[in-house]
Amino acid sequence: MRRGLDRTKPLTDKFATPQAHISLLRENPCKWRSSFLKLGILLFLGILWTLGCSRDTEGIFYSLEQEEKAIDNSLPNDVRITGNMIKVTLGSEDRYYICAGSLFYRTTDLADNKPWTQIKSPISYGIVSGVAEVGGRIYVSLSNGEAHGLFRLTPDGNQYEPNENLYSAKQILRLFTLNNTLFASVGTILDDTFELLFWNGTALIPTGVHTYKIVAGAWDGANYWFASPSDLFRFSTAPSQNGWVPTPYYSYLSYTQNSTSPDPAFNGKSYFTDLFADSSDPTVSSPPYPVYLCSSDGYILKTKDGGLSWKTSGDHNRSFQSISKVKEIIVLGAGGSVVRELPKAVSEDDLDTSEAPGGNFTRLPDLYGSNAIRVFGFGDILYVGTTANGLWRGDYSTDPKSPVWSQE
Amino acid sequence: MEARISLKALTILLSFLVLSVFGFSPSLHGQEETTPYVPTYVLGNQILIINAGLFVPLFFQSLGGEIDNTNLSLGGVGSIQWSAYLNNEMTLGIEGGGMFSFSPNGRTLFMLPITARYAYILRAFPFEFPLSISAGINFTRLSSMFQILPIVKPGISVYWNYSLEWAFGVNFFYWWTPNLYSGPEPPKNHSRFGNFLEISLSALYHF
Repeated sequence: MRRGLDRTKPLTDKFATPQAHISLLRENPCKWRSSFLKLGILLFLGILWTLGCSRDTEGIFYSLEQEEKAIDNSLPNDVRITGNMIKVTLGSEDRYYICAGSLFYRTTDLADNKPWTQIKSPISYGIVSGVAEVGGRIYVSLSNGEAHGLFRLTPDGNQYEPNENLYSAKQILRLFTLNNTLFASVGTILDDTFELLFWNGTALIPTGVHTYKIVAGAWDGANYWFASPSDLFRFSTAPSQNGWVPTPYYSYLSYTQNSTSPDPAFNGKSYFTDLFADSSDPTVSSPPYPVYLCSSDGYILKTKDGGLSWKTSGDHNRSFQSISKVKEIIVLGAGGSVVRELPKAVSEDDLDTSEAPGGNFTRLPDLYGSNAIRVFGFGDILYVGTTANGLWRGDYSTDPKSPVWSQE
Repeated sequence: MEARISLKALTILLSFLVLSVFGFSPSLHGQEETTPYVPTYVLGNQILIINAGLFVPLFFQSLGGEIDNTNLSLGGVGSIQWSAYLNNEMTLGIEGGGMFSFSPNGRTLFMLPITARYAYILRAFPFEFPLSISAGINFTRLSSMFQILPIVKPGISVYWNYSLEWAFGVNFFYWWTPNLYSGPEPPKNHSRFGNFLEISLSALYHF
């Protein structure tokens, strides 16, 4: 039915009798004005209150203005990087392997446009916690909570060797290759039976280090270094079955009880998260090479003499999770959406000067807004692993001050 | 001859159809009256308006005056508005609504303004042309970032009165929303003035 004006209605319609309305609504006009006045005052106060009120670290519109579309490779973007990343040569092909829930690999030459390939896990819903290469073979640790193990890829590196779990006694937390030896940190916090094992060519056997949850390892050319959250170990002999006495080089507990530490730089330090040995430091011609140690309470420590002396940074107020090197720059990844470069750490042992990466880093919110739990340096290329936004690649080859960032 | 009569009849019939389709504007073509009836509104008459349409990101402006791209996609906008007539030409009311738009990497910008709205209405019955300005607060969210910003929305609308109660039209509202900081975090140089355009269709109900 059409709802146009009907000449038979206007005289009875309320809109057609303005005088009636006037009389009705003018009965209490002050009420209207008062309400509008109150509303206006409330809005005005609200506007005043909101100016300058923000808990963000960057402007909302500024963030949008700076944003650019990320160049994206084929690795899933919404994954957590669950372990480490390695670069290996298999035959004539250089490859990257990355723990991103599953194990993925691709060639190192981006120009070939080959995609990331996922390797099907031998354990259903298995999460990869570590990958390491020893003697031209690739070892992978997996767990799904109930089942776990150490597996090896076939010589071509394309799939797991079938039906071969090399170690299933405990869950493997981390894998390291140090001085051509495979190490595995095993155990869970539930039974508190942490242990450091090494691969003797046929099996994982105990090094003698136990009850400490080893989270990182490094080889400085003369010493093996291992870090647990509150302890640092140094061993100068090759691993053998139970050959290492688990006496920490530095122990936070010993420091608090006896005020003893190997260097004043360590006093009170704990929450260690990662180690990095810089075998390409141009200022050091022979081992021991510099070793960097970072902590989640914001400190970086460095030794250039195999642990005779240490230098420490001040408190960066960042939760450092990982440390590596790209070009001649020490790089740290941290929780709380932070990647930091130490541009003077190599050349001047300056561990305090830090800066955010350059280039298009600040134009990629899924990168700079992510928790960067892992950083992996491979010469001119830095990879940043995040908790929820996958893996990012920074190419420092052209200009270290302005790397080109893209998403894998 | 019969064909000519049939053609004439068809022409007349079509003319009636066209007139019946386009000639049903309220009061304009009363069959018994030649003078159109133009409603008059007074203090206390009220209107309820529902808007929905497109959100066009225009540009960001820094404190120094530099203009830059918003990098936002074409978005969507919707709102509901209540107003009361102060007199036949002016209304005052409140409006609440929201918009969404996407960044290049799929982040979603949400803005939910709540504003007070004043309008001055020009008329050429059956059309109305409200010139309006709204001001209020704007709940703004981008990913984990959130802030309440001030907002001012000047605009013009074109309404066609379908009946005494209903009118339909289109709005062109300019959204100007300052996103200002005094530092240290976010720094002052992150301050921007957001400039956007809302193009929306509107249904208006008088009561």
